[in-house]
Amino acid sequence: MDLNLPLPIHDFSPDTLLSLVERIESSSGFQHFIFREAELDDLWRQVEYALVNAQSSGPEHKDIDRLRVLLDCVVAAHDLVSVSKKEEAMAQLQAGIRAQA
Amino acid sequence: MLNAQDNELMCKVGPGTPMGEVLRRFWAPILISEDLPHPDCDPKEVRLLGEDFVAFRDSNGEIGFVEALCPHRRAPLFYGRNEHEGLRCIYHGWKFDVQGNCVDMPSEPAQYEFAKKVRPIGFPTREWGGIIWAYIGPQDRIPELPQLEWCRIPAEYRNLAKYNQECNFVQATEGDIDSSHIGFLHTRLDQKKAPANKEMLWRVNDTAPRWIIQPTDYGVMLAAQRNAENDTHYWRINQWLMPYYTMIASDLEQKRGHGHMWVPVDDEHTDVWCVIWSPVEALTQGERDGILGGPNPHISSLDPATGKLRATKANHFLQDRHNQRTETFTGILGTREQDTAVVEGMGAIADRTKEHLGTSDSAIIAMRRYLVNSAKAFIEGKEPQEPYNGDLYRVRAWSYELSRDIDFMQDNKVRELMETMVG
Repeated sequence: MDLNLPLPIHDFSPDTLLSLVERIESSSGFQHFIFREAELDDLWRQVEYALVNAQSSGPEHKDIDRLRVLLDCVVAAHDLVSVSKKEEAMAQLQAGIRAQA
Repeated sequence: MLNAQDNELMCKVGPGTPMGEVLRRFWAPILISEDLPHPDCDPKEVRLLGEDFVAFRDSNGEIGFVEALCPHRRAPLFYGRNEHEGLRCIYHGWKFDVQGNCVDMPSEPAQYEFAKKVRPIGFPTREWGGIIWAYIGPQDRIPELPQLEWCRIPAEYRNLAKYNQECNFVQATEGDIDSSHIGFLHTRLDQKKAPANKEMLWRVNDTAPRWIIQPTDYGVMLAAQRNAENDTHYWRINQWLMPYYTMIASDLEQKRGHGHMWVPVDDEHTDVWCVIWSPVEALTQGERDGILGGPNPHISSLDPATGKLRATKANHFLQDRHNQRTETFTGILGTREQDTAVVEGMGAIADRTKEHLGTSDSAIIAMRRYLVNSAKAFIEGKEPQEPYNGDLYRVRAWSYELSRDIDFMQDNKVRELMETMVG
């Protein structure tokens, strides 16, 4: 696990979120958290894009509520990582994983 | 990406805002010395951190920096008469010395001694490195001047130019530490086919450098490592120093430096200072001429009368679409015009909740984080430390070819290169 490079984020599956939890857990120091923030930037935009797409399909789209909760968790994790609060950030991502169950 | 609250916290610079108060702890460069060329010359209007001031040079050559409006009836002091060791308001003749003390009040009977009852309207100034500096923070916390290399060299080693840009200081600064844009915004179309030197070749051959982003006592060090020869790496080290200084990696011989000061005028305007200097020799006239003119100028359209660029958003930065098809990536002449076109185009304050940062933006994330953390620390009652240690600013930006075997953070040559070359 190279923590000094951002991990390419290809989706927002539970596996991806879990790998980010593990990377946050292993991180320490300014540079690590900058790169974790970059990873969560990537995740944020993908979830947001999916939410916008779902909303454009109509207000009753089945994924809207789930994606909204997930987006809130990702944004919260992003902001927590940016202030090096890794336990709280990990908890937010784990909540995001549960929201997808 | 940044949430809206952090974005506002980072960008708002007016009185009473957390970032504004952090910025007020530092000396601010306000004018080039030649802007006030001789004793009793015309005063200058200065806007800094959302407040208005007037700068003047008195009969003794001393600099005054005072509130823009006369404390009597709020008339603009800019129109004042700069005469006999003070600036006299043209409305009722109140006169202020360089400390901002009211020293003459001909409109009031002398026995009332009213002049002594008017609070001083001046702020501390320094003249150093060809720059006039002002301090508008708490008077019991006057900081040290930042010992920037370009300030500690003879005048003929240095070139200063400045212009006003219509956007917030953070996005203006971000342009300088966004290393990846250099391969696009500022390139000629033939550059990749025929690299001019080995540095250019290394940059062309390795477009995805590895980064070391290191927080320091002064800001953030941004090191990019590229493959050079089989056994060497090409390193480019840029520096961002609190609160708005940037230094761009110099040439391999370390003979030229290039930096900027991004001084917030208010939330939506920035004074951009461009500094080109040598630590070892005088700049040639050809170099000076090439900064504002020639085929590849640093600034192509500076209007000295207004302090602004003639190339603006309104005239699409004089973009030449034919040139864009045939010669340059942008069709816009001038490095600063190219940067200004993109950063002003983001809007006065970029909406960072809508951007899509990539891995190459890690340096920008780091700078923002440092700024936001400084503002949040201030809210919690912690004063910034950088203003009170001017020696922190004795660092350089540099580039060098180093063995692949080195431990960058421990290497002696790296330490040597990081230090200022001027004693």
